[in-house]
Amino acid sequence: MAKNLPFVDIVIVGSGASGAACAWKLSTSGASIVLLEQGDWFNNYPGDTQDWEIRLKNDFHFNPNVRNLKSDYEILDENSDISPLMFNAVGGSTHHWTAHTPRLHPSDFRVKTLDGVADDWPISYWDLEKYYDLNDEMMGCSGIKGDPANPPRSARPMPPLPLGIDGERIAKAADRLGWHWWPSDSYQASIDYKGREGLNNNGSYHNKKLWEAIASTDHVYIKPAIKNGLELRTNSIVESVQVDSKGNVNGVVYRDTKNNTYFQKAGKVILACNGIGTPRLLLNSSSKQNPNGLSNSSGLVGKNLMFHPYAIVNGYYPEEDIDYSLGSLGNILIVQEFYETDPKRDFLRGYSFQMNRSTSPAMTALGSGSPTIVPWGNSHHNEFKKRFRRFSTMAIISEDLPELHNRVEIVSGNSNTLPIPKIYYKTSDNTKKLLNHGIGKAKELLKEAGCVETTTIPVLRSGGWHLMGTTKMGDDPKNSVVNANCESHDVKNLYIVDGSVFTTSAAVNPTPTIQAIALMTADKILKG
Amino acid sequence: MKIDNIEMNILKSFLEVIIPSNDDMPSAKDIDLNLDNILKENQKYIKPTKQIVDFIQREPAARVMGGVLSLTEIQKIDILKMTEHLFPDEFAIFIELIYLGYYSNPEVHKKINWTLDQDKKDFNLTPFDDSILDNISKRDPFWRKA
Ligand SMILES: Cc1cc2nc3c(=O)[nH]c(=O)nc-3n(C[C@H](O)[C@H](O)[C@H](O)COP(=O)(O)OP(=O)(O)OC[C@H]3O[C@@H](n4cnc5c(N)ncnc54)[C@H](O)[C@@H]3O)c2cc1C
Repeated sequence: MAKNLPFVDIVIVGSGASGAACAWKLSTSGASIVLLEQGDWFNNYPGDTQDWEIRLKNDFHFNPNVRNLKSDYEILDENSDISPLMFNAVGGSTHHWTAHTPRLHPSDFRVKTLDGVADDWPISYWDLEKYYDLNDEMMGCSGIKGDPANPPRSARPMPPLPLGIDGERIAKAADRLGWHWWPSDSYQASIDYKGREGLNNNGSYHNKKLWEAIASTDHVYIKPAIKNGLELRTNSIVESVQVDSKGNVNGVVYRDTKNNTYFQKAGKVILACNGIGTPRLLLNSSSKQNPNGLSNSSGLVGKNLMFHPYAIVNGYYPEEDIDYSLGSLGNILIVQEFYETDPKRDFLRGYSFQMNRSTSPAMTALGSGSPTIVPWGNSHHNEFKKRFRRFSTMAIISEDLPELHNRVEIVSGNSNTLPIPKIYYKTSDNTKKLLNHGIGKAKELLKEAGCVETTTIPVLRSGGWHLMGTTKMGDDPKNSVVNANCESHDVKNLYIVDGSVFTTSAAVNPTPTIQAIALMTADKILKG
Repeated sequence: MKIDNIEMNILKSFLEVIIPSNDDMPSAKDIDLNLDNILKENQKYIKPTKQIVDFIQREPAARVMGGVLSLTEIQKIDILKMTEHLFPDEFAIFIELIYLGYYSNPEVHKKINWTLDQDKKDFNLTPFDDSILDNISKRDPFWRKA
């Protein structure tokens, strides 16, 4: 029997990128708010010790199935081309992320009108603009305004990170080809910023300073929210969202690590468990009234899963004496020459290139963007030498169009756990054509930059870092789960603020947009 | 579950074939890979490693006089290739273990001139210089209005 806890105005579930931003904004109102997070506080980053790369492949692995920490839940992904990645702790996946932070384009919100595919969002770029700005300010954005591929934006709070020798090479190559490029917006501090130490000059993906220079929401949003009166309960796994006899949300049931269960009564419930955790929770909240799960009259909870399939092209430089590993891993530059739909191409929508750079010794030996590891045996050292500190990576981020058969379902686990999410995902023909185009263009760019050899991964299986679409936003309750305010069509006072609400995926890293939506939703709740 | 001494000795006897030495670099056998510790801390390597070692032990060539430890280099390479072919997933995890051990070793770091010292001067990159934007800044905005 769950223990009843006193009523609070708002319960938020999940403290990652979105839940934390939403909690902070709401905490300024004086409302009573409880934030429930299944993980704990975390600052045990690998780095500065000899074993840091071993930890990257084990207890700090990006894939929760490999990491298998107490706060992680298993995800069945054998029916998916792509493995989902996430981190479960106070701050969520912002403990793992690279913090490359572009925005969606205005056209991304109007794909049906412009290109006749999928659906338009019920909100526009312009609705989100001021929340993007607020989030850039709070998280701390390094970058520079003036990018011709995007609408004008406010001055960035910090200068861009250095491009490095490799970044400059790629930038100049793009110039020569007449292609767009621009220094990345990034939530990695390039100078000291609001208590965070800037890391302008020294990089290489291996030190605590780097993790700390990258914004995570435990520091940026949750600590200030706690000062404002937010109550955070860690190690609290929410099992279901509850509704009263009239079908209105009235709280959540959660469990602590000692298996005690509680019913936290609340006026409003906000879900921020990410594109897999949120549908898992809604599907597990089925009842006699809602046999197919909560907020699921459309049947769309868990459907339309989008990942942004990535293709990876590595280009290898001939010079032995230049170190191409210095600087931040993936916050260098973005190329959006092929972003918008072009009717002359055989696919719809488009893609971005995000440039990444050479990595550390063991990561290089284990493949690092290459389709093969450095071989064992007699050729090992020669091949390692050819790769180590000698490559640039073009990551092709594709727009992933929503498809009903790409989905999250739940299957029962053992009696002690919530049901396990099971993922079904197939890369579409449109995406394959789009990635193929990107691969050709990436090779052209790398060759122009002086690379003498390239390798390709056509679809990166281990690239499921963006989780979107599984509780789609829209105006029509038959064709969406939440409305433009991110409130459930079916259940009053139930909100969703994570990447699940994306109507379409666009072709950029999603987190600034996820957070802007969370801030906007909080604002709308506050304004009633 | 753990790797026992016999299994560890068999594993170690294959190290110089997996990463041999050359003029600049030591073999994986020449240095301490800290395998005991890695295996203790990270359970995921144990089962695949046991499976690989077990397969090696049961290979006909390894069962003749002298056992695994007296296999020739060529025989070891053949056995590893066969193991890789038959158990690709387990073999990949096994190789990950060896590579992580090798490339976390301070001696190897020194040889490849890799340091964890963040204050080392060579790490400094020149700060971002706007002049590189001269060309691209001339381009008219080309985002699609919506
Ligand atoms: C390796 C990696 C690199 C990335 N790089 C970038 C990048 O460069 N740029 C970018 O834009 N994005 C990047 N991302 C993606 C980014 O991290 C996510 O988009 C973002 O964190 C999603 O925010 P969220 O709030 O939806 O979910 P999350 O940040 O995943 O947070 C969800 C939280 O909910 C909690 N939770 C889930 N279920 C429950 C439950 N039942 N009860 C209680 N708590 C629960 C989880 O523990 C977790 O803390 C990256 C991700 C990874 C893994």
